[in-house]
Amino acid sequence: MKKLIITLSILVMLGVIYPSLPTSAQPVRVPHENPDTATGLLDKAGLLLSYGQIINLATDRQYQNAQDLLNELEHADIPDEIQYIINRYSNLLQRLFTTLDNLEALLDEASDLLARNQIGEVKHLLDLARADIRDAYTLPEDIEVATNSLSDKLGVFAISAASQLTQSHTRLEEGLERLSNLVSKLNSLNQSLSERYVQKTRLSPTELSLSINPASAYVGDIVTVSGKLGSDGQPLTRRRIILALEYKTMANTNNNVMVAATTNTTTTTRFDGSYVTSITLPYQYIENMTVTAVYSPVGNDVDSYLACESPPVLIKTMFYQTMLEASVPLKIYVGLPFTLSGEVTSDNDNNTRSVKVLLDKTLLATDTVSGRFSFEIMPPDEILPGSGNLTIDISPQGRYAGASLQRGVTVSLLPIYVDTRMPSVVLSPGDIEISGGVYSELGPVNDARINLNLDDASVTTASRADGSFQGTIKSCLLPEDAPPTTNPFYVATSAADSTFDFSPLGIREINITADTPQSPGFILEVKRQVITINPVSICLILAAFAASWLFVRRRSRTLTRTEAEMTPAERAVLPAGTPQPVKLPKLTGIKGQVISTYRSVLAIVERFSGVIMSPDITLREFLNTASLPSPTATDHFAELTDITESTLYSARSPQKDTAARAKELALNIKEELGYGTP
Amino acid sequence: MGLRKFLIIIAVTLIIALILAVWFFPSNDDFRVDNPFWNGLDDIQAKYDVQTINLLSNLPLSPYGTTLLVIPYLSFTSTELWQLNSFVSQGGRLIIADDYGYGNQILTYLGLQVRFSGEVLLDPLVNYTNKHFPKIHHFRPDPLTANTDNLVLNHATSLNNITADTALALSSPFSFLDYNGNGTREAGEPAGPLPVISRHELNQGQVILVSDPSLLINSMNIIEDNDSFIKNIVTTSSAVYIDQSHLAFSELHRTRSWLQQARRFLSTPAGTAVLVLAVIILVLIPIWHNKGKIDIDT
Repeated sequence: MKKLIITLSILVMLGVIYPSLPTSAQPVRVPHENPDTATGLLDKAGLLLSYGQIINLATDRQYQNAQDLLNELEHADIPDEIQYIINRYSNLLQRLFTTLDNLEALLDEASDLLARNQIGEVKHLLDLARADIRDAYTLPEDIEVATNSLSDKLGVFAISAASQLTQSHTRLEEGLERLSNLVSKLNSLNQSLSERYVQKTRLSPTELSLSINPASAYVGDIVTVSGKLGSDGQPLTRRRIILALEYKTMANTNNNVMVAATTNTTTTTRFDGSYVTSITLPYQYIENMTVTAVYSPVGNDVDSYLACESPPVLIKTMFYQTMLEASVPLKIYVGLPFTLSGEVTSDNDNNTRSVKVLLDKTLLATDTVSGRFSFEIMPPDEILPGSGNLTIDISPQGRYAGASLQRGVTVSLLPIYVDTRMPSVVLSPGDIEISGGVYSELGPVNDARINLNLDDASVTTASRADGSFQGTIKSCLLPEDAPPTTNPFYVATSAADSTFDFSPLGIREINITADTPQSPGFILEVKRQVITINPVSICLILAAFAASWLFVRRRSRTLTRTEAEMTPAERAVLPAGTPQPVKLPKLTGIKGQVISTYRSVLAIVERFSGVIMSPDITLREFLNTASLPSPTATDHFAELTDITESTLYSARSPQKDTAARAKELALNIKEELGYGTP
Repeated sequence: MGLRKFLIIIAVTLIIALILAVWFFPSNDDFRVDNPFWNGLDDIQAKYDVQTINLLSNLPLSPYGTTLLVIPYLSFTSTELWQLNSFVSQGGRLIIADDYGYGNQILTYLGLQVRFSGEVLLDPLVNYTNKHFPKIHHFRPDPLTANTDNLVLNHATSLNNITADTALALSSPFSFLDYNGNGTREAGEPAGPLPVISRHELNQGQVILVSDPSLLINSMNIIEDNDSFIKNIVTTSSAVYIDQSHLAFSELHRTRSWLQQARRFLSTPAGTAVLVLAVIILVLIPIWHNKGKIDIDT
């Protein structure tokens, strides 16, 4: 009994302690928390630090980055009660950064023009800059007020100076001071540029003319450019002239966005101030281009002459248009070729042209074509199913412009179908033969991989040229060891050719999957059900039932025989409602030994006397009721009854020799009644 | 009834009750597809056509266009790493969703320079509820990020050694990696924008890195556009496989595995024979015990 309690206690303790042991092996970081129960407050110090970070960017003259960061704050999770102040504060900073950015751009441009002696626009730029400086002086004052208001709302002034929030506020204030210093520096720069402008107005002005011959030409042709440079009616000789050819071009090959491009050509004026040179028109298939001549003083001329620019002159450009027509399938299948046909024509002649076919960004084919064309394209395996754009690109060639055509196509995997044949009732353990065929819209599919799965059993086979396949799942084999895995508690499920179900009768599902090289990634799944009969399980269960039936039958026969051997008188002694004997618990100690000994004898006496000791009679009453065939045995049983009574009811604890005497009496009774050996 | 018998009956009843509870109570393990609670992936399996695999050897032999989603919370054997490499080499798309697990083990094996930083990514301003839930709204146009304006992460990390052309999503400029765990941005701690999703071409396949697997869990995929991201993963693949063999396991899962192993054993001929033998012995014990009494009767 003690052992049982100790064992159970140990098991309970292990059960309580063991589950907490693996926590020591878990990752240190928390992988996640439940968002429904998560709570949070605004990180006030983080907010002020972020504003400090934004202002620091502005003081480093990274105005665009500072504005981008301010825009980011629109995504911040700000409580409603301070949202208004934050919006106002961000708006003020945004205005200041825009003003400073604009101011710097104006001053930079003015400085650049002054450096090149081009003073025409400078005065206007400096006037605009002055207006911005006025704004830049007033905005920081508003920002200072807003900063105090925001800090007050965040409770900066209500906490100690050592706190993170106060430190963040201090850093913000330092940033604002640097911003004010920056405005002062820009003001100084503006004044300095104004003084330089006044000096430059005293230089001599210059004039530059420009003409082009011919006024229209094919792309790739050469045109002649000429003109004259002078100052106050006098020619300027041996001066460098820059001829800027401006045109529009494609930003890149993948879209139709046009961007401006410039090609510069340099020449020098002759003794009479004139210049003549030639320009090759680039292969840009646009309707016109513009040429401008520019003179910028260098060397000693910087202190004598102002810069000048000729009026722009237009060149009409010509080229041959290319027309493209093509017939594109609406649907293409991965791994299956498709035919692309069409026609390429141009204004002048049908030359051989290079053609590229792309599906989105994937190059499908390249070829050279002339007039009508038709070729077969095999889509590569790596393209994904879905919608895409098929582009046919004809490259430009000399005077012939390029052409492009784009059509939407659907990329699909070739669907396959599986036809299966298998018995509807199978014996388990046993083999299940499965056969069938794999087909697609184009006919039987060769070399399709067929996977047959029954619970853990898995068999892989391949289809033949006529699309047919055959496979056998062997059930009732022991599972193989699972392949290595880091999870020691993972339950292996991949044993091949092995499955067993204890169910004597059941419906089981066979899963058939098929995939083909023509449809990479496409897996067809078919489920079929079979009825399984398991004779082994049926036999084993029947055997268990048979054993139970034998036991019950044998026990009932034993009881019947015992009753039959009793005399009528013995049967009469038995009271009408005599209860059946019950098993009593095992006892320990001297007292227990005595009672246990009495019990062992009691069972024999009950059997010989035919009288069962019912719970409502005393030991002494039973002694008087039960009669034994041997007088000696009767005497010994009387003494044993006396000892047992004393042990049970006496106030004094029984002695060791009492148990020994009881055992001795029990042995004598058994010997006397021929039950066991002494 | 004796105390001994009472204790035995209680113990046996308790064991049977516990077995039933373990067998039928749904999993509550992180990222398990059979976990219907807030931290499981039950919703994904219910909503999309995804397949779970418990063994990397069960991956398709021709993986073109297919996607394998791995949450590496347990280390990989060399065989498993080879299987992953083979999957990618043959055109499969491997998505490694990791924060503090074994993702770098895979990346090292695949020969990629990119790494999971393993540090906690916090965003004090652009977040959902608190700084541990950074909100991501900088995306590079890509089929994976289509129709996605905001993603919310949950105790995430960031990616290191990412180039501009491989990053698909970046955290806000206010985010930072909390090296010292004090929750405040300090000097020396990398600040945003930090890459959290990236795409890497490898042989014929792709490796997609997501620096937080928690955006997939049941309670997170309903927030902002997290579901759009998951949908994009599914719609740009011919088949999606979710690996469940590298997830940490709880006592419930461990015990259920034991029970499954026991059931599996009992389903084998040897196990069935042992079971039937045990039943017969239990039935025959009383007969054996009463043999002496029968003998005296006879």
